[in-house]
Amino acid sequence: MESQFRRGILDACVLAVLERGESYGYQLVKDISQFIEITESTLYPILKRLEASNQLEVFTQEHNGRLRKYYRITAAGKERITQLMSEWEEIVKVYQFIQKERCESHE
Amino acid sequence: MSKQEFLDGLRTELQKASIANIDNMVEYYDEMICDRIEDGMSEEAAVADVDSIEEIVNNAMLDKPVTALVKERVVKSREKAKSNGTQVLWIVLAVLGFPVWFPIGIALLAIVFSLYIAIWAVVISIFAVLLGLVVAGLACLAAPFIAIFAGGFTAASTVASIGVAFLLFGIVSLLWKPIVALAKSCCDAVVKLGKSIKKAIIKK
Repeated sequence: MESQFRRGILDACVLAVLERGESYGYQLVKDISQFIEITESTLYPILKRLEASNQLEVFTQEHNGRLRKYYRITAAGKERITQLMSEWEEIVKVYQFIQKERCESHE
Repeated sequence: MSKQEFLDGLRTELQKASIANIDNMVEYYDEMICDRIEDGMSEEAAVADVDSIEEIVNNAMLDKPVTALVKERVVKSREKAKSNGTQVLWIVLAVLGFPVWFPIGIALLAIVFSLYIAIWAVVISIFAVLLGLVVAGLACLAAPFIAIFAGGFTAASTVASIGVAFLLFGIVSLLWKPIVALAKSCCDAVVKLGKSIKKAIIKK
């Protein structure tokens, strides 16, 4: 998958999971990897980028005697996901167009 | 490999690659391993399940600024030349080849710089056009009031002036969405240009 396109999808996946509720790194990897390949080293820069652009905020909480970082979506993050979804509708239309054109050329 | 050995190895490799915020990254992977152990994995299995140190460093490298990557490449090449004993040869070649590599280097830099400037110039100029249309619209709205004080007020010119103002505002509202989309594409193009340069440097 083209890297720019993949990055956009992964951003949307992270924001979508966080829209459901706050989460932590390992849980994010587990939730997202059911649908698209993602590892910790791919997730780390995404979290940093989304944090830098104020689309998510980070807070630390004690868990089983150790500190764990949690991520929470912000208003800017929610706005971004709406924007990504509207862009996605365009992509679906293009996909349907390509599929239709291919079907016609095979006939 | 134990968790501590993995984290120490990661810290060393991140330091070697001059990555920023090493403590944050090590903390992040420490948390990832601890979460896996809590999930029922053994320490060794948890370490084996996270990405390899090489993969982590490679992904972190992609996030570094181009200037830092170029600096590292230069230092590495110097060290390599020193260990090979070819340092003198490279200096001689660099001096003799100066009339060739210098203009080519400058030309390449100029191409990248001009592309960067051209993209931003497009963005700034289209927003300047929009701003110009808004200012012209406001002037057309204000014109009838000025005409009342300055003399020369006519009903026809007032209607025409207000009409032109609304026409201009209409054009701005019609153009706003495509122009914002175009500006975004230009920003994406700048980011893509930077990323391709980075990838080229890392690959080498």
